[in-house]
Amino acid sequence: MNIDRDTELRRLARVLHREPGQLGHLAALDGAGLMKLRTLIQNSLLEEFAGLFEKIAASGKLAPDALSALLCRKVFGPSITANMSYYVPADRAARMCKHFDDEFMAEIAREQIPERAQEQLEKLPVELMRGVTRQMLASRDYHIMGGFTDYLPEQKAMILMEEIADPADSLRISSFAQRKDRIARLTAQMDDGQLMRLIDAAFKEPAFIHEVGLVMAQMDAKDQQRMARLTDAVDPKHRATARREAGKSGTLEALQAFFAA
Amino acid sequence: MPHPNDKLARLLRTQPAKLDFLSVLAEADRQKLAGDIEQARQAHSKHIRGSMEEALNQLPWLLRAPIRKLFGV
Repeated sequence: MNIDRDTELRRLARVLHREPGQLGHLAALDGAGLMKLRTLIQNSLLEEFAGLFEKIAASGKLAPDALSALLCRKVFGPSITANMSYYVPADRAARMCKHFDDEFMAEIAREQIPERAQEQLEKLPVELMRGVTRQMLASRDYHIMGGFTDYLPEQKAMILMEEIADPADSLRISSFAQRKDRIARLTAQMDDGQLMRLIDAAFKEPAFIHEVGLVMAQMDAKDQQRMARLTDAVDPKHRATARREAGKSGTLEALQAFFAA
Repeated sequence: MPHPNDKLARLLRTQPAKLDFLSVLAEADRQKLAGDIEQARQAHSKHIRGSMEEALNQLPWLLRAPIRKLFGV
């Protein structure tokens, strides 16, 4: 996986309750180093209370799902439920989620480490995720959504994309996702109209042009050529702007097919 | 002789040797990073303890002490 440094810096900044600009002292670390550091920090935070979460999870082992879910909602709250979830079998966690409302599930997701929740993401019915997606879009939790995008089964991600009405939101989420290859595959499945709206939104903000560049760099030549055709249809001047941005971010070579089309 | 990553290793609950990738950072930058991690750790700890207190407050007070003992909080 090609680790985008800016994406990882944004994610690490969130974990440390800082702004990316406040992490200048980490300038010598590349994207992979930042990712390794973030994972170590998240795991160490979880480990500090691991014993407690394990005990809570074990104490509810024999209780029916509905009762455990009720205790989570009424007694433990989202933070403890999220941390305890790593110690509950994924099948059971998915069954318990059926007893939670969208708001509670979104609160749990805000507290979870996506890497650790991968198995739950596989088991959880996508219909339960729709409401969570809407909640997170409303609260502009793009950094959480980006993190989950890296670990969400692609089929489910494709379905959940239907919930994102504003293309700028897709770009904001993408800016926190490390797996640009997945975003590229999901983007390539959009129809021409959706893609043109995405391109239009992207060229309204320099940070978005950079993001689209990173995503397109993961597309094959055929998809890049399609993106070039649609970009020209939105505005023939856009590709020159994209070339300048790609020159700055070092993605010119990876975007050869886009610029040659 | 102490390892330059000792403090960070303690904070990150790992072995200093596993933090060799941080050797590209100057000592002052590593100190600053340790400060960042310590602050994040304190904030997280406060958050979890607060959540646990809130949870215990939902229970009848007679149950709180045995549950505290059971979960070690």
